[in-house]
Parts: sequence; structure tokens; C-alpha cells
Amino acid sequence: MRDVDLLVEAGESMLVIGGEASGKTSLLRGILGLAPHSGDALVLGSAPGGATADGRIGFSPQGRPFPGELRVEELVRLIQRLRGIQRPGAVTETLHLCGLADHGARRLAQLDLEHARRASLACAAVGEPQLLLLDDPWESPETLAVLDAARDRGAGAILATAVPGGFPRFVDATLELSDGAPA
Amino acid sequence: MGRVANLLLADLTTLARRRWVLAAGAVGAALTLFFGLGDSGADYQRNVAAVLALGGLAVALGLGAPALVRDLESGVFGLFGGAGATASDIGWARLASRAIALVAVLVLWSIAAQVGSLVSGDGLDGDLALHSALTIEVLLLVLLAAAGAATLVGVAAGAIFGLVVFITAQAVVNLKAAADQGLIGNGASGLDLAYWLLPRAVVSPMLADLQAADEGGPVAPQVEINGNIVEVPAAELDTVLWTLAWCGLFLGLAIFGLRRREL
Repeated sequence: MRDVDLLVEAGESMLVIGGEASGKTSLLRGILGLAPHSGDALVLGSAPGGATADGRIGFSPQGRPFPGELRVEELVRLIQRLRGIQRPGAVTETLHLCGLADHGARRLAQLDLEHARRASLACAAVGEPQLLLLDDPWESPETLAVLDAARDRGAGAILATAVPGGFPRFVDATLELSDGAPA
Repeated sequence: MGRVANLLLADLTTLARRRWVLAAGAVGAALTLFFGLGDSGADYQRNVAAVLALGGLAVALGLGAPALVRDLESGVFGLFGGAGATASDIGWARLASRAIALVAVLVLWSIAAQVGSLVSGDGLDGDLALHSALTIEVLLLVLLAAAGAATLVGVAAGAIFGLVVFITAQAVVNLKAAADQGLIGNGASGLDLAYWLLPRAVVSPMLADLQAADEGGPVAPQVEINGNIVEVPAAELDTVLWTLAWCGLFLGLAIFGLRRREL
């Protein structure tokens, strides 16, 4: 990644679009502090990694990055605990918000792709984070509900996708990447 | 509960539902129970020792080699890292859960053997209990060696490295015993150096007795050099501690190997 300059204020959302290997996931990983960076970057007032360690970022990875033997509810509870969130009922609320209320007891390996993406969304949404990072989200009512809820509480959101679909209508700004740089 | 504890519990839950782990636990327990019920004396001890060593070796490699290999995880480490867990958190949790799983499987097998022996009227076998504990130590060494190496060279090579450590540890002890008995030269102290530097197998008194009586079977075959039998003594405390130190070294290697790459 190079020459990236972006600002997402509280309550705003940004769509990052680009083709295969354009740097979308690398950008999100950089914001999380999972990939090294140079230059100036502040994420929720801290250097990249700081807000992640504090549990203030909700991250939805692409694909099916789950231990397949765990149940949906167990995974979301694990992510909640890793982020240091104690609030009772947060997991149940999140499963409901993400359309997984009836799937909490199912093993992750048994989920079809649609529900696997919802489970990934639930990992980001649990505990009402101050910043949402959604990698390859599906354009679904559940995703839009999570974005609406984030906007209502003043949280920011960055979505990265190769297929923008109708997302541009729901975000405040769009950044297009190509070959690791703004297009 | 901290991040390491949460990750550890999650991985233990995963392992407890993994079919091959369950199958290994059940098959091994059935075998040792069978030997406990059907055999006695040296036959019983030899057969149970074989299950513990060879079956345990397979389980140790199966649990250890893939434990920390990011490329096998389809982004799971990134998911955990994105929720605030560090590479060290993940490493400690994974290694601890794999070690606990290995100990649980071997304790289950050992208990099944003791139950079989008790039911068949032979009573509990204290020598076998000690042997089981010492076998667990050696297999933990193998697990950690495989896990550590796999972070650097991949799963298959990591498993091979774990196997090499297992074989080397036994060979070092056998060769030192042969040198001490004057059956081979010590290679201008090269053998002594290897003995004091490399990890060593922790030979239990039970296994030493079986081997001396040529009853050790495939786990402890009697070694002859020019017609002279090598008498491998039971390990003393220094070997137990030395092997533990090597466990610590491989643990450090595993954590280092995981931390050197992005989650």
C-alpha cells in the first residue's frame, strides 16, 4: 500500500473498492495494526493497533475464517471476550441483529456461505465497537442494519469490497484502490 | 478471564470435537484396556508402553505440527488478532491447549490400562504409572519441537523434525549407555558433548527393566554391539530436568516463529 490518505469521522462510513490484490484487505489490516505501516496514521486517536488492543474495533474478515468445530454463539462470545466486552446479552442481541438468532447453536463448519458471512458480520458487530471494518461484506439487510446501528451510535465504518453493488448509496465516501494505491 | 485463557478454552473445545482426536482417544483406551484385561506382567507393560509411545507419538505430531501454522488457519489468526489478541496470546493458548489435549489422551490411555489390570485381578501398576508420566514428558517435547519447527518450515517438515527429535533423544541415551559400558568409543568426547547438549529420552525404570530382560518389544528393543548387550539405565533427575529445559527451548522457538510473521 502507498499514498493512501483517508479520513473517516465518527458516524461516517467509507467504501473501499478495488479489484483482486488492489490492497483492500491490506488497508484494513494496516488499520487494525496487523500489518506494519509507515507514515502518519491515527485510528480512534491511537496508533494502529492501539484501538484494536482496546477492543474498540469490530472486524469482519473475508471468507470463512472460523474454527469449524465451534458453534456460532461460541465464536461470537469468544470475540466479545477477546475485545474485553463484558455486557450481558451482547451476544444474543448481535446474533439477532445479524439474522443468526436461530443459528447460534450450529457448528460454523455446517453454515452455508450466506450464514458464514453473517457470522463474520456478527464478529464485527458484537459489543457496539467505535469503528467497524468489514472485509468483503454481503449487501444484505443484516449488513445494512449493522451499518445503521453504527451510524446511530456515532461509530465509523469502513467497508472493503470488489463488488460495490448498492453500497455506495449507504456510505458517505468512496475510495477506489488499484495496485496498492488510490486509483 | 484473560485473552490467553479464552483462546485456550476455545481451542480445547475445538480439539474435543475433532474426530481424529476423539478416535485416537477411544482406540488407544480400548487397546490399553484390552491389554490390561488380557495380559499380565511384562507382556502387559510392554504392550501398554507400545501404545503410549507409538500412539502418543502420532497424537503429539498431529497436535503439535499444525498448531501455529498461519497458512492452515484460513484467517483465524487474523480474526483473533483483529479482536485484540497478540501473536503471543495465540501462541501460548494454542500450545497450552495442545499440551493439555495430549496429556488428557495419554492419561486416559494409562487409566484404561490400570482399570483393565485392576479388573483382571493384577492390581494397580505403580511402575506403569511412572512410565506413563515420563512418556508424557518426552511426547510434550516432541509436540513442542514439531510446533516450533512448523512455524518456520511448514507442517510436514515440522512433523518430521518432531520425529527426528524423538529418535535422536533415544539414540543419544542408547549411545551414551554403550559408551559408558566401553562398548563403543566416545568419539573423542563428541558423544559426551552430544549427550550434554541434545534432548534426551527419559527412560523409565519399567522400560529399563523390560529392555534388560529383552522384553521391551518395539518401544525398547535390546541393543547389541559385537554381541554385547547395551544396558540402558533408567533416567535420573538430571535427565528429567534437561528434557524439561528443552521443552522450554522449543516453546520459545514456537512463540518466536509465530511472532515473526503477521497474523
